[in-house]
Amino acid sequence: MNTAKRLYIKSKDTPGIFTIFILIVLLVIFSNTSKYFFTGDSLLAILLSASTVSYIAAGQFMVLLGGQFDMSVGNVAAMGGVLYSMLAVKGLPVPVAMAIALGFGLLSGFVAGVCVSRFNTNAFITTFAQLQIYRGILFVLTGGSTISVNPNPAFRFIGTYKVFGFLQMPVVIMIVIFTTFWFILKFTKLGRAIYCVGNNAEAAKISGINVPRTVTFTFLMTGFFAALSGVVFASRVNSGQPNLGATYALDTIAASVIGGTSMAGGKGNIWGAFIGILVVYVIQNGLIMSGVDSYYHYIITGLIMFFAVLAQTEKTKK
Amino acid sequence: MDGEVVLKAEHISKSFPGVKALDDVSIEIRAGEVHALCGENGAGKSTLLKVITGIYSMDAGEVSVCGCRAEIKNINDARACGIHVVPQEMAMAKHLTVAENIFLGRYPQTRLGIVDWKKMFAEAKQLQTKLGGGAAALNVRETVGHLSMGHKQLIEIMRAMIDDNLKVIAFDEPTSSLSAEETERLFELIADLRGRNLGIIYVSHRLSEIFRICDRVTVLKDGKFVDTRNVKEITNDDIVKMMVGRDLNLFGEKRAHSGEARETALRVENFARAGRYQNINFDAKFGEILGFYGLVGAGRTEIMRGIFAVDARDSGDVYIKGKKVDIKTPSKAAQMGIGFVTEDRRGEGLMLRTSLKMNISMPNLNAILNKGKLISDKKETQYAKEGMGRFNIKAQSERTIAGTLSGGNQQKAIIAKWVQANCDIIIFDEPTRGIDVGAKAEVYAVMKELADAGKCVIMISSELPETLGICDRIIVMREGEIMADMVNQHLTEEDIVRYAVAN
Repeated sequence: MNTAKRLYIKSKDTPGIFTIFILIVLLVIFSNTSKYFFTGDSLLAILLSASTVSYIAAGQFMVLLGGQFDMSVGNVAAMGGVLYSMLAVKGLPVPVAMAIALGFGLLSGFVAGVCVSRFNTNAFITTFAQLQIYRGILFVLTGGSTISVNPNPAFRFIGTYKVFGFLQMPVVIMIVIFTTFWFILKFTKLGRAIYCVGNNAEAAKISGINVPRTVTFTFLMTGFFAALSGVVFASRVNSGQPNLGATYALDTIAASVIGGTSMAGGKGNIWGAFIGILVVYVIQNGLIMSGVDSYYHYIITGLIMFFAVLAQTEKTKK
Repeated sequence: MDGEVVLKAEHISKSFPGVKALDDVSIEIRAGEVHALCGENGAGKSTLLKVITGIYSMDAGEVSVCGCRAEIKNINDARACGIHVVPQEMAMAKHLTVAENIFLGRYPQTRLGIVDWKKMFAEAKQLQTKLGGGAAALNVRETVGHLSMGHKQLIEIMRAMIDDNLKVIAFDEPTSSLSAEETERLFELIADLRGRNLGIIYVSHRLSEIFRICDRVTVLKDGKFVDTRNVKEITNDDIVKMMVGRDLNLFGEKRAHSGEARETALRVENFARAGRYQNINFDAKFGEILGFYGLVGAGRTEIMRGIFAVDARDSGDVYIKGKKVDIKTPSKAAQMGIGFVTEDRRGEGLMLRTSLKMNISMPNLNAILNKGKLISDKKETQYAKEGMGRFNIKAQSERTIAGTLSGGNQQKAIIAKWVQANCDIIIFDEPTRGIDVGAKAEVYAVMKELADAGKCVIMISSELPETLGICDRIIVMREGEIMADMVNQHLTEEDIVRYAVAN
């Protein structure tokens, strides 16, 4: 009991421990409810399904750390995938199609970042407006139907190539992104600036940190990685899906929160967000493998978020 | 003087993790007295007020009101018992009107349960008349967002005044953000409240005020009760001794005077911003402490914010070491070697939820990069430790969260961050506001040390003793204009006040 209590208190101080604890509990539960769950293949499959969203989770984490959030990520991802597919179908070389799709993501992030940081618009409304606009554009472009792409190895490379013959590209990209972000946040001035701005933008400004540029950078990250996520997904399934990503904004915010990121900004750990997104996808996949209606995952993810927030609130002084 | 005891707190103890904030403290407040509560920061004054009003729960002890034991569990219980605190940091709903803020949570209602706006505005007006002066000048229908700290405090005081059963009113550092005129009015008001047989708790660092308006004084030190004395029977030095347990020469040795031969560090020409300041010209030299004295709202902070490009200005040029510079952003100002220790420590100075280390390195991240241009934890730790050692910042380690430090240590952390950043021109805006005597003396020593080391120190202050005590030259401002620029030799308080206050 005493050990448990001490562990509980410690988990409050180090959010990462809480998140890992949840992940382990989930793994134990699901390996008991489904005999297929705890096998190399299915764990890799879960990792693969989480991978494309995890790019956005990393970007979203940056934005949250800077004290903002980005609701548009799902539709930016859909735009990325649809642009990539449509342009490839139109006969553009794959690298050009990809560059345009990713360029769109950067532009979208740039617009959001400039509006929020220079014109002080509310991040929620700004990115929500973008979401609406992109949804409209997606319908206009596709009529709501999937864009299928003819067999084309170049198009499929980024989503299906296996490094060393077994490690899927999307998973490799995920590892690269998270490692890079960890590096940026820990070792670079830019990363430090994000922490400072999220903590106290006024103090950061007076201390000579360029607040608008820092905030804009974080939105560039969500925009770019959301588009990349869409591109990789399109490559994986060989088609552009206009309905992709309806839950991405909430999934990625949930991942950061479960991973101990403060919604007020300035506090959080990139690996917490990483484990957070795994938790979200382990729940989704574990339930399906256990034969439970996958809609229950919303309820369970919600409950875990709820407890994560409760467990991580700072001790109230009284 | 010998009124009935309205509030009695006995044997109060309260611990926080690692700190005994209050240790067996007792205090009694009589009706019709102004009772000063005195002590260094961290002595437990605020904690005592918070325990009495139920914001903190106590570990041991008892509070009684008018002889009956009172169970005060939250601020509403405290109000029901007739105890009201006018806090130092005022919480306002900034988008609501003055009147709504006064009646926050207690809007007058009609019989139908609808807010009785007419009554609210009328009663707010009555309260204004009662307070007079600055309060009467307020428009009760105005939103409070842009009001000065002084005005917000008047609203706080009016909040307390609407209670009919008000027995005790506590002022926490009430004059720290008031102008001289407003302070005078507050004193009149406090005298008036005393005349109505209220018990008044007066927390202040300004000893002169205690002698001016208080009847008794209770001194706390390190969470312990030192003594309660009649103010008439003691002197200034007695209180200081009780507070710090030693004699203290606050301002230290007078510095050798700055000659005219010194190099000009900063020159400001024709600065103007409509409605804030106009026609501002001055020089600040290396190796001197230049004071900016004036009443709250004289435009001193606004000029500094203009130089630092935190706020825009309409016109004016800045020269550094004789060269005209175009400072467009605060980051440019920091690069030019200007540091700005802002008045609002919590809002603009520190990242409260982060370590001291990150706070200190914030303006000068280049200093903690290794050869590969990456942040080095080792360098940062050393950099922060140096700053902490230099200014004697009391914290467990450089990893301590800044928000958990006392006000004085927070202030020293902000100073450390600019000095460590090698700024040669450092602007201090009310650097000793709300910090204790011991920390004040240390801040003064730091400013003098910086000037001795050849840096240009500019201090904005609303306190005459410190302005006269440590500045080499004093610029006096009134209503957005410079009224006088004087070498601080044989100056008296009257010389300065004459320029600061309109005839």
